[in-house]
Amino acid sequence: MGPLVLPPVLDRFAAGMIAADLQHRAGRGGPVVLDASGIERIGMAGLQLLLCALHAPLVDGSAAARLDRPSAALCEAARLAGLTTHLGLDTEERR
Amino acid sequence: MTLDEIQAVFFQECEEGVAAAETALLALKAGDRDGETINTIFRAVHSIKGGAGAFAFAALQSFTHHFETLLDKVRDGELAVTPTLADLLMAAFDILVDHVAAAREGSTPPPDEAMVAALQDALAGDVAHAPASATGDGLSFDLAAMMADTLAVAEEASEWTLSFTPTREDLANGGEPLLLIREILSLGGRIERVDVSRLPTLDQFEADAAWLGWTIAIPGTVEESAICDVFDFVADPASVRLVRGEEDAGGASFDEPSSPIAPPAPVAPVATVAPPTMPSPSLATTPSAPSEPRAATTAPAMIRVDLEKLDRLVDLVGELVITQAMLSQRLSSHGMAAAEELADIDQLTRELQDSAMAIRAQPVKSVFSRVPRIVRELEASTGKRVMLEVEGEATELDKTVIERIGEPLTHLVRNCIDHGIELPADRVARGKPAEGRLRLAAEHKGSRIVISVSDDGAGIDRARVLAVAVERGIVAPDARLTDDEIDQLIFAPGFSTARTVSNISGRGVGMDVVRQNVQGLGGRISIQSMPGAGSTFALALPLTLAIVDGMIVRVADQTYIIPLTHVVESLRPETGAVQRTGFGTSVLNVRGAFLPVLSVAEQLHVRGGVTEPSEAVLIVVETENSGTAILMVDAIVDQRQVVIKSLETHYQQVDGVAGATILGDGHVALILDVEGIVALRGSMQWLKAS
Repeated sequence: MGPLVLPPVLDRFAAGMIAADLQHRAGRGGPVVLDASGIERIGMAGLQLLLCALHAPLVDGSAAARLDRPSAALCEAARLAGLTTHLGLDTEERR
Repeated sequence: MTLDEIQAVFFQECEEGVAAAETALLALKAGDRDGETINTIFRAVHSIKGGAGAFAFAALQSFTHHFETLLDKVRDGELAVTPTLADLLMAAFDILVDHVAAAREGSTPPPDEAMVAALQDALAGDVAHAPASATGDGLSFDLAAMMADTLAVAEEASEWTLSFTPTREDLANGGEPLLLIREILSLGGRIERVDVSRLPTLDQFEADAAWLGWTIAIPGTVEESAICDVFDFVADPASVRLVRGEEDAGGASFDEPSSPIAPPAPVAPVATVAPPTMPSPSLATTPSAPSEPRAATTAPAMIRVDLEKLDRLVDLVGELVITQAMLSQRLSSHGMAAAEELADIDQLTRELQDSAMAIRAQPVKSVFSRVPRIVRELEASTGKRVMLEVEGEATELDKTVIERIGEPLTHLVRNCIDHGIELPADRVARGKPAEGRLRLAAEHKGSRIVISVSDDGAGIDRARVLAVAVERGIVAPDARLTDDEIDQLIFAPGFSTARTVSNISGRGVGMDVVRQNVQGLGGRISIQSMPGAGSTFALALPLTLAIVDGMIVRVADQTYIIPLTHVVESLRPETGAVQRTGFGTSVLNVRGAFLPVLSVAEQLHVRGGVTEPSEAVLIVVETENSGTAILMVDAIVDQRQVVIKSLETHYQQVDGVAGATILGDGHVALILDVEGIVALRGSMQWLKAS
């Protein structure tokens, strides 16, 4: 299963659409890779979705999703909201 | 709603805010140091500022910002409220009122540079430099003296702790809480905690919901108003809490997913930022130093209603009254006058009328609230000292009466201070307190409202009034007038005893206009004056201008209405009981009082009326200015409510006639101006004689 490419604008509307897709993919087993490289704008709804996805445990206890290649816009939004650590972006930055 | 309509609502809210602020400022001046009093002023100014910003009234917004900033310091206890600071706030308030008026009228904003400088100096506690900016620009107070005892700067402000927990409403309609956080961070804030404990599992995720909460520390040097401004347009006021110092309850982390976020317990003054009620952004803050909760914590539910709709309702009720009268008359002609249902309809119509009129009623407070400023201005310009006492400001009057009584009342107040109350030195020399007393009162008296303006000044100088009247040809040099008649001379057109023309009064216009305005409302004005002790002007006003209880009487083949407010009793005299006098008038001894008997037929030049009193019906009537008299009519026909129709609108003013109405049979009947008829006859001499 390939990565789920997140849209440039991750607003409330997009978050609702992706949430449904994520549930579907998570239900098929294994963590979903979220390609966040294309995010240009993200709001509170988008950040909440990412937090849910990253911390929703699968049956084996692993996370339902993991972020891949976070864009600068996502990192900035996370920093602004104080969620860098919660989204694992500090680890990402160190890497 | 159009922008103009929204703007009109803003100005209505300005009026309400200004009235609330003025009441609170007066309480402050009188020594009230309750935190809620300061908050009331702050809220009003802040709301006006928000609306001014929304509608781009830059000058108003700028001034309110400076005003609000000082109020904020007072609210936080960083500036102690002293009488002198209260005076400064009051003076700033006066300029705020001018700003609001200028914004509403689209006129040039008032000059406020000096006041802004004074506010800033007060804020900075710069006593040494304050006077130059404050007094040099024409302010009538010395800021240095004013502020000398006000500077009580509290300990260095501790850090603010902001708790922001957006709700679903905050996300609705494109709301983005992250933008607000960005603004807060730009003020120097730093995120202390993010509460993610309420996040759901992925299958319960809703994009419209909000699950995050932030705790943000903000430097204590940042003004509270600056923080609150960021949240002016937050949809849910409960989502924001602001406290001085640290909160003792924090957000949870992912390690404790089931723990709900607990509302932080305030450890310091708490401010809850309320959302604006469009279109006027308003910010409601709870007391910074909460005192005992006030008794009324819930505002009465209210809606704004277009005045035209109310007027339409009142018109319809008026038509209903007429139709009901017609129905009553029709049924009477069929022998069904005593039908129970008819009495019920009569009662219901009366209640409906009372309810409709009550909707239009407003407290006289809206008029009385102008007076404190007038008093302050006159104190400053005359050097007199005046203690204002207000009573009965919750008394309600019809909106139209309220709107039209403002000018007459203002003039009476000016007159009392300018002509009545003496200078402090003169008062002391006469054994009076240096501070004069001006009393403004409103009360119900029967079906009228009586508004009185009293002073404890010198009283009317009757010798001087009479001399001026003679000099101006208003009365003959050999005229012998009673005290009451001399007092009435001040209402003569062009009469003024002022030795110098001032901008207060003394231009020879005013009191006659006052009386005309009051009479135009169906009201009466009376004077009581005692030399050396003061004067009282009493305005007796009708509760409503639309419907009146009337006695329907017949004179020859005409039908007239006598308003019941004037009627004391009716009687049929025995033959010879009414005695002719040498003045061509008749009198009747009513329980020891000789009252003048006035034939309505004669007064209104109606032919064919009963001339023999023993065959007529005598109606004893009371008037405000002319005492008690008797009107002679042919017969009493009925007694009922009638709808007043203006005679002037449809025809022209007629002496002795106050208006017209449509009777149940469809005929037009004239409503008698009892006051005018009695005054026409010059019954005052008779009253004096009796």
